[in-house]
Amino acid sequence: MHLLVGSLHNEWMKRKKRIYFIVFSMIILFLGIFVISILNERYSFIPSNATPNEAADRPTVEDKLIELQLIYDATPVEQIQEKKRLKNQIEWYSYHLSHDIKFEVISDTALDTLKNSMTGIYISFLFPIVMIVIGADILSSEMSSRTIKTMLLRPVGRLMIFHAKLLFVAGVSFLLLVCSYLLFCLLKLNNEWGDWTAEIVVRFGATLHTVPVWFFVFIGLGSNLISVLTLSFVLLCISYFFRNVSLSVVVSMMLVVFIKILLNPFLVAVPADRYYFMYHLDLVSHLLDEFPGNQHLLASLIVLLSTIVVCYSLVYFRINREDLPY
Amino acid sequence: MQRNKVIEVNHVSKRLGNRTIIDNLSLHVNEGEIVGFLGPNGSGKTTSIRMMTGMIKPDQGSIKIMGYDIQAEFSLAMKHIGAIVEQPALYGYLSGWENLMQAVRISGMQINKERIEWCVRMVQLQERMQEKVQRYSLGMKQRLAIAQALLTQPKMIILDEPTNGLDPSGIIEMRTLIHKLRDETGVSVFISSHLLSEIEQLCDRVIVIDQGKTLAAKEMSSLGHAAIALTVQDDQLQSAYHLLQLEGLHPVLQNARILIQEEAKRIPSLVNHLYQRGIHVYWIEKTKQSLEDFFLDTTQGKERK
Repeated sequence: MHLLVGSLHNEWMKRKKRIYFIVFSMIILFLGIFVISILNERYSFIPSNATPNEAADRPTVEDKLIELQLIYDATPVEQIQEKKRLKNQIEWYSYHLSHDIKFEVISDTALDTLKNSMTGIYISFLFPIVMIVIGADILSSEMSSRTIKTMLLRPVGRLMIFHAKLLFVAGVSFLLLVCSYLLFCLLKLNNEWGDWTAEIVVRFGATLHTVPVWFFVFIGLGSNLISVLTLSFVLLCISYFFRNVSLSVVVSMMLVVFIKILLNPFLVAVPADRYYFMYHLDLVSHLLDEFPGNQHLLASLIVLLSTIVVCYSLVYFRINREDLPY
Repeated sequence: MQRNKVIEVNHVSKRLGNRTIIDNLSLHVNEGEIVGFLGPNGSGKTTSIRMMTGMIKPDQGSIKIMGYDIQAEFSLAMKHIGAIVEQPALYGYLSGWENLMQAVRISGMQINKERIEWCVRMVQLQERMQEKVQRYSLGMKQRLAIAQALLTQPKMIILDEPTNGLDPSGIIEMRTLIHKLRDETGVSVFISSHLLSEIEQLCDRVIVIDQGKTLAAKEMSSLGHAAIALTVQDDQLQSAYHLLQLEGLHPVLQNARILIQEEAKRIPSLVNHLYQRGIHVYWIEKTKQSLEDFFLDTTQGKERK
């Protein structure tokens, strides 16, 4: 344990400047968005015939249900998956109506922003890029500069070096993710905060349930942690096997960012995306019935956990047997 | 007096592809001893050192440090040694002090500030510790790496070509430092180098390897013993060498001379014996065998066989 803490401390000392830079960039970015949103609110052009209460113009659940029902009826029977998805959505909105749960299709409280930022493009695309900046070269840079010798010649085993780096990438990434969520909330400070105990509908398997917002946030953070862990394992695995800084960063970018383009020609013949971890990072979308594919939460969890097991096994069986020529 | 063995390498072999890099290598280093590790380029010195530090795994044999097997009990074994393999690996963007702290945190033991400062004083880097290592000269980096190796109060320090790339004053500083270390701490030093003159001045014992095999091991004190040098014609050198071997002697070739260690009263009969075989001895003189002679004789003698 003492060695692991020491190793983590070492990683922090080596990478703290980079982390400070990422945090600084994030703060600047969010401050910019915050200032723009305030300026936009104050000086935006308001048409003379605009209603004083914009909320009155927002679609209600009933409107949404009618719209979905129309789309569902118009969808041909052959499109089984699309019909299934629409049926789930109709079920989702009907559940709100039947259980008399307050639901706004568009809402602006800080808690709603937090809830919405836990799912979608941020966790499945943008944050993985931040994680590449944090740790895609964490092992490869030490191997190419041979500074890994400093650790190899100490009484820390090779696996301990790997574990420390993995924990560092996962831990720092998760902390940054939480910090960015807080910044998302701060963006909406000029609106109201929202109610922690308000009820929210989530889907677990085939059934819908009502949970308080605080519980949803808790589950959302847990799901995001699994995604961050999976990405950390993948990045460390790439960094270990591609022992060159540029190569490991390029391969990480290819696997994380450009995989859709790479896989696209093959997706018609083989539905490879179904088993690819990047398509399953957004676990929270399962809870909100917004997952783009047809897989269940359990299937996504199995894909992510399998990715972790495969990456760890590859490194585990290689690292202890390998002759390190440094 | 029987001294404890700090490291024991027993019948270690290593193959890389189809080539045997290390072939049944055995050696040991006693407590408080400075041992030189010699061999031509590509003889397997660095591979042996990498195996001794656990970076490469032997195919056969065992390596024990203070009785702990480097494979099975890596952490326990590595607590007892400090090593610099080839060029020192330091973080250029960190200060000298932070580089030491990096080693302290993963040393597996409590190391207090006084100990760290002692190590810094030992390598005389007090004035430069807060500077980034990328501004250090090669000699300073070597010294910092030695300070890192000393932090855990190891029983042995392994130095792989520590004088490589150093200027003459750097080499002298390194030699002084190694002597000082042994004298003040009693630490054993295992040092590989191409500079025979350095090894000669530094070491208590030398081990010569070639093609992964131990060719010879010799105490430096026995190396300098007086010997008789016989000068014969160049084309008769090999014949004379073999004839003296048949007489039960251990001749050593040095330039165009043959060195033998023999009592003075036997020399006339030996010269007569050579003469009867058609080998003329032109000069007989008293001389000493240098490490260079020993090294060349050991490595070239092997080729003759």
